[in-house]
Amino acid sequence: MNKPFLLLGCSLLIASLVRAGDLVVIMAPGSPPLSKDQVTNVYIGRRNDLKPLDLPASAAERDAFYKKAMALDAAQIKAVWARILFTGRGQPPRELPDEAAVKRAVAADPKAVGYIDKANVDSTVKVVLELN
Amino acid sequence: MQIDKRASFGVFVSISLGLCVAQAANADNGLNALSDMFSYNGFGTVGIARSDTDQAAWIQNIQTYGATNNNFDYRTDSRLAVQGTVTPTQWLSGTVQALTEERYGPAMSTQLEWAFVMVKPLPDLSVRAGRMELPTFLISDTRNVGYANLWLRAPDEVYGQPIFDVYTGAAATYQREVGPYSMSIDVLSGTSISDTALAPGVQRRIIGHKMLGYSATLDRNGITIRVSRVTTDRTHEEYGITYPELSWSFDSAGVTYDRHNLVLQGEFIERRTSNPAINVNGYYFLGGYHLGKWTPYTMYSVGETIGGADGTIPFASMHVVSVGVRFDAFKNVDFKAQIEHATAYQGGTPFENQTTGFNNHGNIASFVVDFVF
Repeated sequence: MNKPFLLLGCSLLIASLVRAGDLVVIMAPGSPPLSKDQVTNVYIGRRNDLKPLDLPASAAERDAFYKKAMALDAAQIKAVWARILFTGRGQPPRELPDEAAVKRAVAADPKAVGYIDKANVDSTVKVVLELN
Repeated sequence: MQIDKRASFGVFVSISLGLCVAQAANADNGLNALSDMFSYNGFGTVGIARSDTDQAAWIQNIQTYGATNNNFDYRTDSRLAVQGTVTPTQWLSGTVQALTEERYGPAMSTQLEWAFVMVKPLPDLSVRAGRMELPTFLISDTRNVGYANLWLRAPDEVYGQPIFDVYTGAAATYQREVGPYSMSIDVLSGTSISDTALAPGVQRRIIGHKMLGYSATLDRNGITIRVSRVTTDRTHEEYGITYPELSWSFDSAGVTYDRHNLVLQGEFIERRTSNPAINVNGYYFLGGYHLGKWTPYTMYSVGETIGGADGTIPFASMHVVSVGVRFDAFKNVDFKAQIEHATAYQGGTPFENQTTGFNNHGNIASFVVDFVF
């Protein structure tokens, strides 16, 4: 195998390992832990006491989150929200541009829930669920 | 007011495209307090349907005109809705939705479908008042939103039975977690009016007084189970005559499963009235499998009058077998194609305006594009 292909292969492998990095669900420090079922209910509009936050549709973490937390792909989750939105029962999770923005919003609001890569967790937020 | 149907369709398509473009132009605007308070969204479908018979028109719900082998009928499935929501506080919101579609007249018409205010006095409780969708069966409230459903259209054998789509009144929803489950209890009360055509150009107004509805929904891990009951005192007006009220009830038990790559949905419904000749049972089974962006599916649906053991009540039924595929083409846009074989026994719909010699069978091919914005 020639070098460029080997390099490409290695980068793809590393990229896939990075993409498959552990995701965590975060809330403000002091929040109680959440179960997978509870996180699912928050993100599909079945629980209204917490405020879910999303990453942009283009973020790989977003697809990974819905896949790991509730076994739904992007089209399925969009269909779920179309049902809720067009019965006037709620609005989809607020979308923030990146993980840093999610962390800031979660740290500032005890009701906000977000998901980020485990490697980006710091003391401003608390991990309430690990998604492996 | 009747609008020329071609003009109406042109306006319909222009508004759809215009809103899509406007949405794309606004997509990168930052959030601010005002746009947080006001939001607009919409959904629509542009589609055609054609049957292989010219001896009967294939018609859905309360529509007057349907598909035959002489035309590609665009009115069966095409519709456009625009919805605006204002949320001044976390516990108060207002929603209006306008919907353009074919109803009982020859042209597509636009009406204010919903206009309601929602109050959330507690996190688990919401109360709505105004004009709202009537959630008679499992997906009654979202059956117009093509994008939200796997099938090309809701089976008329079940979803054509209630007649009433919207009501004016009040509804309360209590939703909370019970262990790993999410539970929702809904109650509603109100009045509903539905205009249909007795014959082309002759209006029949159906009125449901003292409408009451109850439903319970349980969800976990992509499985939803729902049971419901709607009752009403129904009367109708035609040729200036108001007929006596009869008690009607609609019961439903339905299940959906949407997880991993598998989609399953099934529902059984009963329509009961004080006139046994129009009591109906209906059911359907839907199965689909996600293969990347493609989801092939199949459905079997039945609607039939109960009939009488002694033969005094005429028996009528309709059976439909469908095979189709959904393709999630772009963000917020899907394409669907479906072929179905419909059989009507003893004059059961969906075949209307039958000519002598009609053999009670028809094959219908449909293609639609669904979008949300």
